[in-house]
Amino acid sequence: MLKFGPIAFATPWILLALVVLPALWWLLRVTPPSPRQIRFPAVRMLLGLESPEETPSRTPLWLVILRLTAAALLIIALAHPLLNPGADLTGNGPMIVVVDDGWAAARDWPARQRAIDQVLDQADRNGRAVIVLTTAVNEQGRPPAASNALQPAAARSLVEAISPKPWPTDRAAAIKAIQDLELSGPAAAVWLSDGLDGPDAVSLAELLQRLGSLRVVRPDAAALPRLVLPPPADERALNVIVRRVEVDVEAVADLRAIAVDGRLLARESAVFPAGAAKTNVTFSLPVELRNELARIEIEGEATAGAVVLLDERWRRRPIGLLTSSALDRGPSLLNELYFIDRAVAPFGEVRQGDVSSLLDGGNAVTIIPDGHSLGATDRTRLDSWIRNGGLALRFAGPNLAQSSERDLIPVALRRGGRALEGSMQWTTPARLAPFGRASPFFGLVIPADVTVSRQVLAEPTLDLGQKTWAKLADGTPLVTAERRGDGWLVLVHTTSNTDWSNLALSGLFVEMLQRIARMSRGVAGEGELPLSPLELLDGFGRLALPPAAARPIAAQEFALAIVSPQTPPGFYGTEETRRALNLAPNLATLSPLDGLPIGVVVDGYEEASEVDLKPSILAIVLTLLLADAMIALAMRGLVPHGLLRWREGMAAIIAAVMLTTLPVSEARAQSISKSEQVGLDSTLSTHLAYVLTGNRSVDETSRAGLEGLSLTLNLRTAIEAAPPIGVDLEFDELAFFPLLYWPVTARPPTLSTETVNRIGRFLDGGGTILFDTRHQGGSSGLGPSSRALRNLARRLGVPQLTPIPADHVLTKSFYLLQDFPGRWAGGRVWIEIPGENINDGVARIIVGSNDWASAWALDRTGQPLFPVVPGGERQREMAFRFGVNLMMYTLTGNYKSDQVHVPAILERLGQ
Amino acid sequence: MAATVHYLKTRQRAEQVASTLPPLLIAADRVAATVAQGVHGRRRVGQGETFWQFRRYQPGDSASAIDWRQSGKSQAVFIRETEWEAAQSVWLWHDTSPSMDYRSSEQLPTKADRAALLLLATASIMMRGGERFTLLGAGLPPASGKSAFNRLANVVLADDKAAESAPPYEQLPRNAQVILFGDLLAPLPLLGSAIMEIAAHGVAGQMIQVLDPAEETLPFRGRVQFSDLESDLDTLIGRVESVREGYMHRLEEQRAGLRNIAQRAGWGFHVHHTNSPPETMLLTLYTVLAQVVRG
Repeated sequence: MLKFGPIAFATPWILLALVVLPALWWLLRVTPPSPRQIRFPAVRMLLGLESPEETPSRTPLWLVILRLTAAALLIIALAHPLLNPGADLTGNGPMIVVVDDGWAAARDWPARQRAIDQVLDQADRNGRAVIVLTTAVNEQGRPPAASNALQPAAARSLVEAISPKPWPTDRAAAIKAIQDLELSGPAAAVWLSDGLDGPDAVSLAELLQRLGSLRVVRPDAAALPRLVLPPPADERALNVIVRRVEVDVEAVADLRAIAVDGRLLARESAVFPAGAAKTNVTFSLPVELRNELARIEIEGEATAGAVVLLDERWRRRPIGLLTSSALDRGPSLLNELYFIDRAVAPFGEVRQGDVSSLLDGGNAVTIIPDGHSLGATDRTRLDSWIRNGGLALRFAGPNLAQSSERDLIPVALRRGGRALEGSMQWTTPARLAPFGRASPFFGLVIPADVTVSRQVLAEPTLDLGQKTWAKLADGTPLVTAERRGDGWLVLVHTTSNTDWSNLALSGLFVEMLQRIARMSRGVAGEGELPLSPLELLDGFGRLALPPAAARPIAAQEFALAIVSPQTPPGFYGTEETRRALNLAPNLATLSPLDGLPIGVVVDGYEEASEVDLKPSILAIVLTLLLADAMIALAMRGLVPHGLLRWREGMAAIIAAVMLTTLPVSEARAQSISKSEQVGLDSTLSTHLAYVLTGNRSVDETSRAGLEGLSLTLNLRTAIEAAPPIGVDLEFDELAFFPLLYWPVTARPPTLSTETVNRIGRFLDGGGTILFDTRHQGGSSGLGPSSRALRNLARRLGVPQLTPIPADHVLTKSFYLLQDFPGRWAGGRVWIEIPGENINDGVARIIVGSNDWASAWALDRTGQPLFPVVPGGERQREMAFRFGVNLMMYTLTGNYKSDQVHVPAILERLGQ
Repeated sequence: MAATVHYLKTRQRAEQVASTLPPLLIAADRVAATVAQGVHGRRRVGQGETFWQFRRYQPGDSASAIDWRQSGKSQAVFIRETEWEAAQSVWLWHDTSPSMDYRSSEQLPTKADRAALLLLATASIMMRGGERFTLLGAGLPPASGKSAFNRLANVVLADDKAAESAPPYEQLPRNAQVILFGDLLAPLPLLGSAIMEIAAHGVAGQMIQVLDPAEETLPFRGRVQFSDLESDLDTLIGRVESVREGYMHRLEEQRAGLRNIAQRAGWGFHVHHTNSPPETMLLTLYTVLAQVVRG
């Protein structure tokens, strides 16, 4: 290889051909161009006419230079020039290409592939054979093995088939594979590493260097992959820990929480302070959303380690607690509900209420404390609810012991119960017997100090043993359950407070409730069946059908399962009861690859890479030759007056240039950015803005409504309103708009913390939001959008609201108004309680339900789009007047309220 | 399709060119009146109808032919006979050989196009002047009127014409006129014999040589291989500039020979270049013909 600065020639001997250029010069100069051909009618007159002199048949100088340039460029192109050439290869043996293809390599796999390509290009140019070795165990579970010495072309097809695996590399096995190699001479080794240290990383490097020379390519420490650890399952919020290699750079990882069907549920940013190796992100999601959660992943980082799969264990189930009266609600150590509430809170969402409100709410478990008396209709409803798949958990107590009920209990009970401890008893309180294998509590550790002093006793029946989930040391059942239809009826034979047993005080109580709650969604405990692979992650963190080599995992061993080629990370089990196996918990701390032996060349993946100039130069040569052909044709008169043909010729040249792939970097247009453009558009005039809900008809109505209002404002007031702008809360800057019209739909957007902060800044900066629940019937608080609004308000931290006072500025900021009808009339309008020190007393939040946008909406001809109810143009006019007043209010603040005092002030001045 | 378009275009252009000149006969009358003032002036009655004589009515004559004014002057009934105006028959011919299919530049028409245009324009003038005309060698009898013009145009603009570079021999009436349009580059003896044969019967005529400007000036330069349009003849000229003089000399010789032939036959000879407007040539031709018709 011959080098001139950044340019090198791969086959420099061809440059010798440049010597013949002078000869070519001479040849071109003496060879006359062929004569022009002209068809002519009067040839007869020309016959026999002798030309006394010949045209000096010389090729023009500029054409000779053109042709010589083409020839010289051709020679240079054949000499294969390279820009930024890679290092020379040492030795004469084969080239050993070691590729890390564990999970960590997936993050910038395309860069790796380019690097591999370059290495193979180099081998190709140097005529070296290539030995390819991947360091991860392959899908079939075979340890890494080196390929034979291959021609680079054959190696290329082999290399193209390599893809990252969702498990770690096995460098020890790679060392063994290299030791088995028989090499003909000193080899040049290239290790395309994943940049992570491991037990045998350094010894692998040493071994490779001993074979000849070693070049290690590793990513920048900041670009190393990161790990997402599964959050603890039994916490109220999802606390996700993200780990990375410890570097002194601040970094941000955007985490996305994704539902089973791929919907984005939440997005949070994990910020690594400089020098930190891990950081913590908390997702707080409503129970309904949390239960849909299937995976948490780092956005834009496609590795198996950046994905955490979540299964049933992470779900929080809505658990209903039957309460008979409001008096039950107070916390009290004596209260039956107190212990249940506390025990369930870590894994479930507790709701309290009577039978009808609980069963309508769609909860998974209904807990019936002993003190709650059930009416006949409640019993029927509960029974049918259980048969439809619900799980009812009853606690015994004095009431049950004395009752003679037969229907809502899994086993027949003896009346009166049994006391094991008391002033007249000499038995000791009973302990719990170990749980049987069939019990859903199997595997739970029973604390020694849990005792039961009183219980209700079951009548001995044939199936009592089957129905018993837990029993006392003396064999009497403590927890019995009965399958009813698709659901379960479970009875705990003692109380849920400390009256009869201290079970409620123990951690076992929590675990037992958790197991029971897990049953509620069809997870029938830890079954005996092995869990077969359902959907597994590939190297890029995508769920795919399981490969043939994946094996089932025994249910009992699942908790201890380790990710391996036989058991890749992913979902196991069946569609209904799936268990997630994650890669990240199996991995040790991440540390960067360091301590390489001296003499090893270390490169990064994203360094200035070799650019092969050959194709570009050949394209130029082709263009020159085409131009030359056109010129030759023109000189011979074959392109007479044909402008058309010139055009075709030019088209041919241009097409040729386009066809030849020129590795030219894209020119980027230098103009103002999109966000700057949006900012300019929004600020150069006053725009009304509405929130894009994602529901097209609602958005369209909002737009039409605000357009109608803008028109009215332009006609009647000094406000010159420009066309309204739809705002995407997640992305758009809000600060430009005085008023944000926010139609609340039944499915409000999921707001990230960042968005909430931005809305907060908008409000603090003097913005006003008009929430419109858009449903008839006023602000009674019913209806899905009202509920959505409440959720939104909670998320946004909306302060306390009050119905709009009769003398509020809104009633007189432009028109004098008594009420604020929209499409519907009569809905009450709420505003933030004005405080003088917040936002100058101007309400930042206005809430109503009158669907104003529909009343304002006009079509192109100025005709209203929707009828107003109860109707009349007066109502529409009033709606417009409300809009005008609102805009005046948002733009002028409390100015009008000062104006109210003008007569008084004038009067005073007059005195 | 293209042929049809070409046909219509040429015809339209021919009529357009001809329309700039008054009908031949009226002009001829005017020219004649100017030239021979007083000779025929008294006899002229009415527009364009020349009175010849009154004659006694005889059975078989058309009643509409009776001149009642004349009859009222006397006992007898007279019919009015107009002068029998035996218009000359004009025989047109254009060169259809491949050598006519030449133009040196996209901006110019081919010689064949220009010859056909001139021919049709002449015919158009004839038609409006009431002259009788036909195409030499087409086998059509001389006729006048729009239909005759249409027939002529169809033949002239037909694609399947036999290539002929000299006018064919045809027995023509004594006082016929022949107008030849062509490049007249064929060997002089060939042209001479053909023309003398026609002229032998006392037929008058005009020869119009239609040439491309490139044929006149030979504007090419450098090494050029010229190939003939009609035959396989070709010649390589090392430097065209140097033979230009010789070529122009030969062309002048050819033209002198043609003039000589015209003189012997008593015909007119004119040169027209395709880069000059056809109206000029037509005016010249019209002037000449007008003299011949009335003179």
